[in-house]
Amino acid sequence: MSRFSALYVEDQCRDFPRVQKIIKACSGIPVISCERYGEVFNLKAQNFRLQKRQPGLILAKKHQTFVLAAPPGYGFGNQNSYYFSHLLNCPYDCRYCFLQGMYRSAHYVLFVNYEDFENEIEKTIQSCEGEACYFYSGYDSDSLAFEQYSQFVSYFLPVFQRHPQAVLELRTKSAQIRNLLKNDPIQNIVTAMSFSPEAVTQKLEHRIPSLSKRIEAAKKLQQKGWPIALRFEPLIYHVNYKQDYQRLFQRVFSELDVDQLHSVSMGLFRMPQTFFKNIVKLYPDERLFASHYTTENGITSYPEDIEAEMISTCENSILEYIPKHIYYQCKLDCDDSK
Amino acid sequence: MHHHQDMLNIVVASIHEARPLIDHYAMAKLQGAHPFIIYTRAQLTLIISGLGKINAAAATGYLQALSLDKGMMAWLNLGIAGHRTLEIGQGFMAHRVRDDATGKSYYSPHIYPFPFPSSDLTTVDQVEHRYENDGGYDMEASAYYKIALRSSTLELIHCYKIISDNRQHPVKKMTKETIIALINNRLNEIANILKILVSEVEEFRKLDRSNQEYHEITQRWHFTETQKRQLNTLLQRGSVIYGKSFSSQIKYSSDQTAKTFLAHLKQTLAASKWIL
Repeated sequence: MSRFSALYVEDQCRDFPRVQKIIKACSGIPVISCERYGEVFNLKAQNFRLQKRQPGLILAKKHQTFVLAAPPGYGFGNQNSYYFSHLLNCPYDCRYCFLQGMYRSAHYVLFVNYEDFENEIEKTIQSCEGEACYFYSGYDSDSLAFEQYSQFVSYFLPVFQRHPQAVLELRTKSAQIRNLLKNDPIQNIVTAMSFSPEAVTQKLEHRIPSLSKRIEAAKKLQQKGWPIALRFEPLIYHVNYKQDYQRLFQRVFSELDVDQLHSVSMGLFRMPQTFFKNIVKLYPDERLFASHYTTENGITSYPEDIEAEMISTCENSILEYIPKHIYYQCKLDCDDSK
Repeated sequence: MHHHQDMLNIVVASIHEARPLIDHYAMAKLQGAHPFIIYTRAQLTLIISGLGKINAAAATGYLQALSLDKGMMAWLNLGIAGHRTLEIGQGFMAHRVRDDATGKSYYSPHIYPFPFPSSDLTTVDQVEHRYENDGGYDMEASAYYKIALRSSTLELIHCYKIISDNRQHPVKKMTKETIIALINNRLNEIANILKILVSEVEEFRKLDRSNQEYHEITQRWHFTETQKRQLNTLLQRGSVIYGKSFSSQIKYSSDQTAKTFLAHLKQTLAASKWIL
């Protein structure tokens, strides 16, 4: 049984072998034709919360803006930092996620013309003239959660293997690592796993695999020699946050080989006010949004004193386990929450 | 005339298609002067639109105007349709409704576990005899969608059709009895759809419920429209944070104004604990 309620397929890509394969893998659900994915995805009168119960998968062709400059403060790279979104929306349901406020629809959009993404990535790498460059694939989704259908990793591993100076970050909360484990490790492909304390996961991160499963997945990758990064983003403030984060750090760093970690980061809960307002409208009953947030320059966040206290406390705590040079704070004005 | 318990608007082209529902739910004709015949019962309101897109749009719009201040409504377009392949008598939910004249499509998400097939549905201006596309044909659905979307959300707008003709048995003049029998045979399915949609609207409206203190507070002082919105947001946050005990947290005093009351309420909420 497929995890999608329906497949929406753009007429222009229906015959793509990649699309045919996905249709075959999703047998038993309606396959609905559409001219352009925006007809399904962008309609204003839609409710993300209702759709999130049983989203459909839209298979579409992307025509432009395959690779974009990463927002300042995002990630671990230099000025040559980029992101690309072959997938919009995420199978997990994290209440703090900005995607709920950004998109009207909870359907997933998979852009299936990977070859065009590859060409643009190649061009971008060439434009960096041999300098190191960084590509983030988990900005508008989870990089690995749909691997079973998308085969995204299988396609892009060889692309990045050809360019050791180009680092690809796969940002994920999933434990879908089979396609990585099938291959020998590639040092410029970093799997960045996001973790939150169990209390936060239970209340706010719905449908994600258990902490144990994800730590296990990270361990397996590390043991095979794949670079692993850890992301504690966004930090969620609550009365017991100090103990909860300390307990999380203690557990994660006791199970993983700290010496082999690529990087560790933390980031604060922040998002554009318009997204925040949209999410509150969708979830007026959600405790997370009922507390006192501040908005400055169009960005909604915790009050400044809370941010300062939390980042300082968590940094002090995390630096007991890891060397400073692998740590950075994600200072994105709009937290990506993946 | 219309009540807050109204939750589901049903648009049906002809009285013959509506008759089984009217009888099954013992619906009563809405009294008064109306440009369309309307029946109601409990949460349901049914309008007889007449055939074709213009009639469907006008009837949907009229029903919409009658129910605008009732909160979110679910919508169902119900009736008979042609289909290229499905058997006569089979019911289906339209997952894509395409207007044949404009090419515009509407896609109802599949979030409810309806135990019957779904299909494309093309809305045509003239009766379809060729059945060229693999899907259904009707004469109202696209216009109904276009209008219903102005006041509701796609997930609560649906279109259920029962096959009256197909390529093997092309359309011909249908008797009243045949139409009634086609609908009657699917009454259980229809009842199931209505039940699911009504329960969805109930859930939806729970989230949208105005705080009970709102009315009392806005009677005490003069609030501008902006202040009313702020008040509503603050009361909503308060009830999430404190639950039922919130009303006892609200302190009134005679020297307050709307502005100072809002400031005080804001302060009270800012002092609350950050709990997950």
